[in-house]
Amino acid sequence: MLEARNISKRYGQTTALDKAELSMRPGEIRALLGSNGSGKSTVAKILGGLVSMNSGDITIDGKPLSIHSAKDALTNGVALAYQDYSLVDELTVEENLFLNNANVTMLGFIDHKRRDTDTLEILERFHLAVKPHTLVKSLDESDKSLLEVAKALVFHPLYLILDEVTACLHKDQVLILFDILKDEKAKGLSILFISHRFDEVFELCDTVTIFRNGCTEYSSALNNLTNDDIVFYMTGQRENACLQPARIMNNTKAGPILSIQNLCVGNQVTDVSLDLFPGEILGVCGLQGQGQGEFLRAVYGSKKITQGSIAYKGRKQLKLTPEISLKSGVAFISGDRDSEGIFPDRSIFENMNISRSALRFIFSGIRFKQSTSKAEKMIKMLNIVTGGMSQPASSLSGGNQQKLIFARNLLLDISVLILDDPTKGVDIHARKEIQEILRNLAAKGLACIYYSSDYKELAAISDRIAVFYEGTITKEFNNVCDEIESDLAAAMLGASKVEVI
Amino acid sequence: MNKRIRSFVHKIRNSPAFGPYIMLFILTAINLVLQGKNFANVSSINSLFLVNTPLILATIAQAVIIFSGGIDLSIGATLSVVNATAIVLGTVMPIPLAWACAFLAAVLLGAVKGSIVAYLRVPAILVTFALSFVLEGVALLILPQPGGTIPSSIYSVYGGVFAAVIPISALVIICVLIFCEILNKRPLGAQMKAAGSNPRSLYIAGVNVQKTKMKAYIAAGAITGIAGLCLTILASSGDPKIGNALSLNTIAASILGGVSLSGGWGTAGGAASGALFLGVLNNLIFYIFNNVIKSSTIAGIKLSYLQQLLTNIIIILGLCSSLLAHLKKNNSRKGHKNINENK
Repeated sequence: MLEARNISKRYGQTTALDKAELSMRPGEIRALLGSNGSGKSTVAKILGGLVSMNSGDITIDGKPLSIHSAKDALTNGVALAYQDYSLVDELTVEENLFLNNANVTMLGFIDHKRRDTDTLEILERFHLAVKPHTLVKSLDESDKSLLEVAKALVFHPLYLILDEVTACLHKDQVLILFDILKDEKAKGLSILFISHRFDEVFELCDTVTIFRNGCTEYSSALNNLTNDDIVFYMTGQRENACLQPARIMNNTKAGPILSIQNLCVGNQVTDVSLDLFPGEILGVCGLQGQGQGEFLRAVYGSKKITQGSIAYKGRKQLKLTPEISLKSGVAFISGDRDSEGIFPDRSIFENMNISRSALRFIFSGIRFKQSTSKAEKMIKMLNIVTGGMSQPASSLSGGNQQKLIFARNLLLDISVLILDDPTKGVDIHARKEIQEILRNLAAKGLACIYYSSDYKELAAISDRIAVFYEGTITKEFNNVCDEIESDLAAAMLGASKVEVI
Repeated sequence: MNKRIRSFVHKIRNSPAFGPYIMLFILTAINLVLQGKNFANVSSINSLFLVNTPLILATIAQAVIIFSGGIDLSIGATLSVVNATAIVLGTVMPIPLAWACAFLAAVLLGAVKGSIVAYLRVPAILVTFALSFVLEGVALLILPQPGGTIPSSIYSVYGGVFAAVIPISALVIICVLIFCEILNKRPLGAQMKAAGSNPRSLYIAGVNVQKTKMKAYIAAGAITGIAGLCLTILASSGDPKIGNALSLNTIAASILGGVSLSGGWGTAGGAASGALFLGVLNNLIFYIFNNVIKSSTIAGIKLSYLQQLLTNIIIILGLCSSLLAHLKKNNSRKGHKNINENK
């Protein structure tokens, strides 16, 4: 049994963990829940040896344990699979799996035969349709996530920590993963499962630990908790009755603000036509890798369009780049914060003003007073938890980083907002806040294209939903109601070809 | 069998060294067409390898460091130190012992560079840039002015030909390439590349990143030592500034050889062929200027003055094409995402 007691960790001004407690028993799957910034990832990193704690003690079977590096953690049987990939893009699948593995012959050479069979076995177990010698950089995000778990299991750990590994998986892969995890649990593995998806937690886990603001709020069996209880322990407040704002669709007469005709992007997007009207939120859904990501980026201009046209406010755009798009009022927010969002080492203030200042003349000065007051207003409006404007953006938690990117784009004068899974890895509380912000903006005339991997969320926020399958829109739902989820799920799997309800 | 050939072709095509091999092949073909028998005979091939072996070996050493995420601007100065040490010690002790000391000096220097970069975490480009001046000074301290000599027997062995066709110097290169392949066939090979492209994941996998980088620098130091000794034989004397200019050439040759400066991507064979490309190019340009253009002038400019200019323009074109090929490969790989896999 692994026990962590009185764990505290501070990052500069921000307290990430404040005397948190956590335990893992053999043969048990424990869920670790909490809103963003409640310290879930931090505790995982401490156990995995990536981050050192300020105070507290960790014991395994009563014996005190000092973890100074990832190597220490692994030798003590604690393995981690991370939410942000820890795979090396330039190496092959096989090399990644066995990066630190003693499968060598007497002379110290790699035992290729054994390694090949092991790799094939693992790939088959995870139902991954890739070859052992493909480079990891050519894999899908979902395959990478599974590979991440496989890599952690290669070490034959006693304690396995999974940090948001299901965020990029689609449904069938989640089921495969759960089968494997239950199988390992039966063999005596102890698993800590960190996720924002409640249905998965209820399906998989036996016990639950809930963090709030770096403290352990609740820790017990899962089966006597309800959804509302969990939200209560996470946020400290009961969930309000579902806010389903009245949907107004009277702007269609005004004509579309964005009109996309027969758009093609390489071989990933084929022949997509869409109209976007002011004040509406258009949901886009689809399984991983069905072309929606490329489509959104093409509309923003960060991906090259091979065919078709985009008309903005009735004017055809001949050349599209992110700079031109932002200047004319089209902004883009990506859920992939690390590579398409924040500058982790720069301050919150700079992160917020980067787009705004980039759009002005290169030598024009920054009006500090004005910018600061605007930024402060944004921080208040979006409820961003910071330790101060001059702190680096990396000091914020994932959800707050995402809100920071929202703030950056809202400081501009935009009329179309493109969102690519903006709530990936964001907790339910911040999710609600983001949705509310979007709703308010839409009421003021902002048009949004919103992609999310979570179709419940889409159903809650969208006025219309377009379903992507194999690079094109196969179905459009103009009337979004609560019963839509099953229809969406069917359409996402390509159940029926084009028909507009 | 057919399947095996196909998979071999596939492997070559996807190798980082595919572009460089093609470039080298084309250049050699041009050379063959222009020079004919003057190029394709044992003695001219031998002298081509003889002259270029130090650069090729130093490039392999550079590539090993670049794989692991570093860079070494002091390789040239290290060559000078090896040369000076070998010549000076050769006057006071038996030649084999003196040369072993010179070789060990290079290994030690590799360890010094590695420990500063890995353990003190100073950016490699700064460390090695500063060290290059220190080492240039050290070489001058050891051997204040050019001079000294080596036994002619060593040169005649090194300049000889094995089995009537293979130059001995090429054999040295092959030995070093085999050494690199041995590293590659051990877990260390993948770990070194991981240290270059994503050190965090290597750390997470429980491997000591500092140690891995250190090993890369030591291996590179050993290869540099051999390169320095080859340079000494080639010059047959000592010169404290002999290698100083080579540092940047090794970096250019590495890039020509398909090695990515951002680390983790490339092969030792590719790096060697990149360096050989420079050698064959020099050979070709030299031939053209001496036999075709000679001393003709255009608009009062003596054309032979343009030799360096032309050589380096071709090198720039080569660099652009290999960088472009790298970019294109990355893009096409992203585009290869198979949509059907998600069915």
